[in-house]
Amino acid sequence: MTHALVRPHVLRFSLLLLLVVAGVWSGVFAGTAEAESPVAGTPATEPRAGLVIRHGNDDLRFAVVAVPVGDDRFDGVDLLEGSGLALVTTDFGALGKAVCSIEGEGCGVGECRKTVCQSGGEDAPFWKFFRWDSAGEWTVMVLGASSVSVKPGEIYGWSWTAKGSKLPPVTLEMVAAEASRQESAAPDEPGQAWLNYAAAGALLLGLAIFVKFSGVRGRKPGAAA
Amino acid sequence: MTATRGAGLDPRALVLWGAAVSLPALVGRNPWPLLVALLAGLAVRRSLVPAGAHGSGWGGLLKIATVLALLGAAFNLVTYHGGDRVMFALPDGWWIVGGDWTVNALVYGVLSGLALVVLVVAATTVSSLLDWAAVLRLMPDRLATVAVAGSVAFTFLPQTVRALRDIREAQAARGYAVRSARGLVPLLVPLLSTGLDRATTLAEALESRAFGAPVSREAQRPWAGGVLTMALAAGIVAAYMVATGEPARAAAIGIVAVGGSVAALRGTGGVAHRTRYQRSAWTRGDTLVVAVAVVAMAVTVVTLSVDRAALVFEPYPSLLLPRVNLGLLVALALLVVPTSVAERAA
Repeated sequence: MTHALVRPHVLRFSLLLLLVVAGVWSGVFAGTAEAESPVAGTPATEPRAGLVIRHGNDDLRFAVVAVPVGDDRFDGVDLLEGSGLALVTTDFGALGKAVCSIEGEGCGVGECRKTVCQSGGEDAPFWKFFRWDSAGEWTVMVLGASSVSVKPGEIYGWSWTAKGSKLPPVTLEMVAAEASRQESAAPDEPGQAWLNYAAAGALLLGLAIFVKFSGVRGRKPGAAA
Repeated sequence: MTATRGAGLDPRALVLWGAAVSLPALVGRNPWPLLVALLAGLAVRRSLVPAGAHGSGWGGLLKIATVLALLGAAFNLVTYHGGDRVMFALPDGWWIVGGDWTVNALVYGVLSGLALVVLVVAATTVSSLLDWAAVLRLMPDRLATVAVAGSVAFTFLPQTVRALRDIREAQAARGYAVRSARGLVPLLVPLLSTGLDRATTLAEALESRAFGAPVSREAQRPWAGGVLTMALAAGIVAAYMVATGEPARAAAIGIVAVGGSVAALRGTGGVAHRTRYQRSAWTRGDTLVVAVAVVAMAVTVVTLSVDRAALVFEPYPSLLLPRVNLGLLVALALLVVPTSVAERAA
């Protein structure tokens, strides 16, 4: 006896999910190519603060960000967000925000919420926050970026490190010059060939059709029990 | 003559297939492998799981998982405000919901829900097709006690769901309809009493077969209990090492845990030897299913090392097109093979 198994809700859900995901991407990515410049720069006449980011491979990124005069609530995370760098943060309520990832280095939100990207090993790096102090040294800001009120002329640093800052000595003028140079030299991100996406879409469509027309054939109901 | 086999497949092949379908959802959130794994799981489920029969209890769980996945997507949208694709913003002062509402958060929530559904589809399909008696027969004699306890625990939920459905239908036949939370009492009380009845019957049946009976002191090594405790502790430490990103130490401690467990189990003695009326035969279909599962898992693991973005996708901070790895997708698509194998076996 042929017994057709019909689970329309499961099929409808999977196809709906497919359409939603495809729709979200096709609609949302229309403006991807017009993304804003990754590093913010401000005219030298404005009140501004400097930012230095050191990645795990010792690559350095520089940015200068306008600082609102008289606004004590402008903190270290605001400064980082103002740089325009690709950034992932997560909110810990009254404890402030944690920085999970800068320019792709770090961890995702899920892991960040659990461990703030610290794997627990002695040499395991994470994003540490520093300030270039008046003594000409990088000082770690143990209370975190949300607890720091950024003032014009200050320089802050983020380093993907387990120990020490490993950040270079800097001046605000040097940060501004490097930021300007990096901004003009920023390469475009290479995209994947559309042929790949077309092939993947065809594969999904084929599988969806297969699911649609698959069913119990040649088996008696309950034979698997 | 062979033993009863779920969908004509050996339980080991089925479990391996389930692991292969689940792996992309366990390691990442890239929608391409997730969708291929989901469709492969659904194809096998639609082809092999009979409607309303053995797997009906798990079908309800799949519905619940789908609803929870959608709720999870909405929750992520409401509570996380990062990302570059802002739909609209609420005042920052508003508790929890204040801030930017982004497409990034919605996409992450949808993908997390999709991963959950993939895991549930794989688990419910395997559970619906597995012949638990065959699974028990395949376990080593020394693990028979653990296997029985595991099978009882694993079948608890679908049995409860089926009992609830039966009670609801019986009450509906008497003209009873649930109209409020208080109206659930006539359903929950018989469910509880039925569950207790079933537990008592099961316990008596197990006891009558000397399940869990103490072994003789002569057969038991005095050191076995201590070694087993240390092995379990080592296993927990190894799991912690995996969680903290130290795989080398985890592997070393894991070997100690496995070795200790084997030694302790050998030292327990007094193992009840089981006889078998019939043995399950390994078929070419089983080999084929195992082969595609192993290939899919191997390709997934290799891809995770050499092309991580093809499996791990983060919509934060910028929502970009997820990377496609056609080799990985084709390897996962091969997981529909059980549909054709089972048709031949039927």
